[in-house]
Amino acid sequence: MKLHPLAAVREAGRRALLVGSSVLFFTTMAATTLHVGDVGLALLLTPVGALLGAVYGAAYHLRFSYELDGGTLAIQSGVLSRTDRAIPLQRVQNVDLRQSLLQRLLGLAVVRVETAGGGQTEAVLDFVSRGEAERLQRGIRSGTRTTTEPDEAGPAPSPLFELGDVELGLYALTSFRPRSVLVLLLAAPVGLGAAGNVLLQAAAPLGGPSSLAPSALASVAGVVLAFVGALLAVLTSIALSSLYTLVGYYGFALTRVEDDLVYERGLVRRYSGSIPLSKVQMLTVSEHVLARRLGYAGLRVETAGYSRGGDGGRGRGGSSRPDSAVPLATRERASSLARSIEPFGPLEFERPPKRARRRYAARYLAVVLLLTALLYGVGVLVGDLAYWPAPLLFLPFVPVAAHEKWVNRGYHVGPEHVAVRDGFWRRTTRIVPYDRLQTVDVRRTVFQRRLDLASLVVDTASSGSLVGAPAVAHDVETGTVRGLQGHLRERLSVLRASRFVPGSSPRNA
Amino acid sequence: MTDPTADAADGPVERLHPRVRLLWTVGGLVVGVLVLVAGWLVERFVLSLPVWLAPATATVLFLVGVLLALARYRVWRFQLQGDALYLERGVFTRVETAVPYVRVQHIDTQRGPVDRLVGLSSIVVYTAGSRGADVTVPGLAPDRARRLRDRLRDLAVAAEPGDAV
Repeated sequence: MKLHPLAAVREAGRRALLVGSSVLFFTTMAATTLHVGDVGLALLLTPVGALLGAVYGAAYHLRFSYELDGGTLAIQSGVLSRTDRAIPLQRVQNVDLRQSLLQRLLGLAVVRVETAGGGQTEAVLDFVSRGEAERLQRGIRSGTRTTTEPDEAGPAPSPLFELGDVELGLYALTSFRPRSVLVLLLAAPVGLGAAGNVLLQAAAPLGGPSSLAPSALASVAGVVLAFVGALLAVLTSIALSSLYTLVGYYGFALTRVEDDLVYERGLVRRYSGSIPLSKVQMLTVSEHVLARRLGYAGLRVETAGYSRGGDGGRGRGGSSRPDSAVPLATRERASSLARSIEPFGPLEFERPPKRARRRYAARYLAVVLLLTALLYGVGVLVGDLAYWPAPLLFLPFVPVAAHEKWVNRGYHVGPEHVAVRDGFWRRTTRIVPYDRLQTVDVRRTVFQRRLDLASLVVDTASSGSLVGAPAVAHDVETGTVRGLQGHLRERLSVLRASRFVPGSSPRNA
Repeated sequence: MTDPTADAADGPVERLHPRVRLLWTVGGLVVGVLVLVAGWLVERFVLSLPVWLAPATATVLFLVGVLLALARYRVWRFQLQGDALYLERGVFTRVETAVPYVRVQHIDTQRGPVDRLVGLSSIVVYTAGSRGADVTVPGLAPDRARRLRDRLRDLAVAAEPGDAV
């Protein structure tokens, strides 16, 4: 099978532009700086380059083909050096569909296939018609299952969850996308003058400085300005972030198709993806402090699919981060969905011993004192910094912060799962089935050893993004942690001895 | 060292080859030389420093490196236990890792140039995990490394014929 004919047009155009512009760039550079050739030659060579690019793009399209049959997705690609790739469907972890606005209007879609191996997305079909994309997704999914049933014969997929307006709003408000900071950083230098003025005006009623001159900044007015500036930056990035999330998660719906969860989302760009329930590595429940107060939680299902290295949002590929199964729902809803995926019992968390809380208080105190000392030192070096004791204002918050950190940490050992919980601003609970354990570490820093505490680090094969960090039970009694490590190892060997799962996938090549 | 899963199948607790201390000291030596060179460059092109500063810093760093190498060697141990390869290491953060044999994907023996110089070898055990997916046992005599690799391979195959995700 070939990609959509329009993909040839797009590919040819893209390559023509790329090669043409680089030819133009290099020939004019050669003409002006090295005096090799002249601008006339450059203008002559540019269309030639563009034509070559277009031919290469068209050739790439002609030489790209894929086939889905016999339990394998086969892809042949490459103009000069050819690659034949065969992906056994049983090994496929995720199948994603993406549509940009233009692609939606034209009825096209990009299909991305992830397996556990490799450093990047294993197959990208960019792009095919919407109908073909759905046929592929269905075909790959039915091949992923070990028992093959005829397609489309089952009952109509039942919607499991739809994101309501309130939930979408709250999710947008409480989810933070690093991309917004990037936008802010890129935009700030462009509108530097305007940003400075806005900043000065916003800070003026609170006693801010009248100008951005260094002399005006070395007083209390400087602190006010820094404070207002930080506040504005945070608010702007929250606003950008919310907008981004709002657009990205509009119309989120989760359905269960056979043994897969399939989600769809997006206002402008449409995303759709499948999560095979037989390949779940870890469940992550995350509760932002605000959502938590209101009784909401989000749920993420981690598989071994997506490539490491975080958010590859740039370029054609788009991000390859594991997606939420449920962005945000009432806590009961989220936990009942989580339990329908992995049947775990009630979670009763064991908190770290009380001396751990003392450790957190000492840590925060040290940070506050260090900051104060640092400001004082800077003051001594550059002249008077009137506000060096400012960090001491945080002192009253030290015990509160330590307590909150302590309260939110904990671990739970169940009959089939181990769960750990951590974080105040965004409390994350990770639930790992015993038969997904990889290595199990006991870690003790110098400070932990003094207090006879240790951390248990439970690694799984889930994708190693920020959210997919290993499950860590922080600051537990050393003896208990060693016991836990032994318990987990024992559970793993018992489970693996009694059960052989043919459908899961290996990571070795 | 208390071990919760000790049973008859456990092998003896093993240490690294004593010569690994030499190998790790080389790291300290390199840092020391780099500091000397950097000191000389700064002296030459940027600003004048006291003559003793760079050599003294280099010596202190080198000594710290030697002490760290000795401490690392003292702490390091490993054991082929019934169900997992067990490692204990780390001077400041003590880490006790259990790599279950069922999770081993493949095993390498590696010899870098400095390894070859002091006649040592190391093995790297790979798992499918997201973090710490490769566990290294350094400082092994070459045929001991080969034997350990073969033993681990046999244990991994015997543990389960399936995959390991």
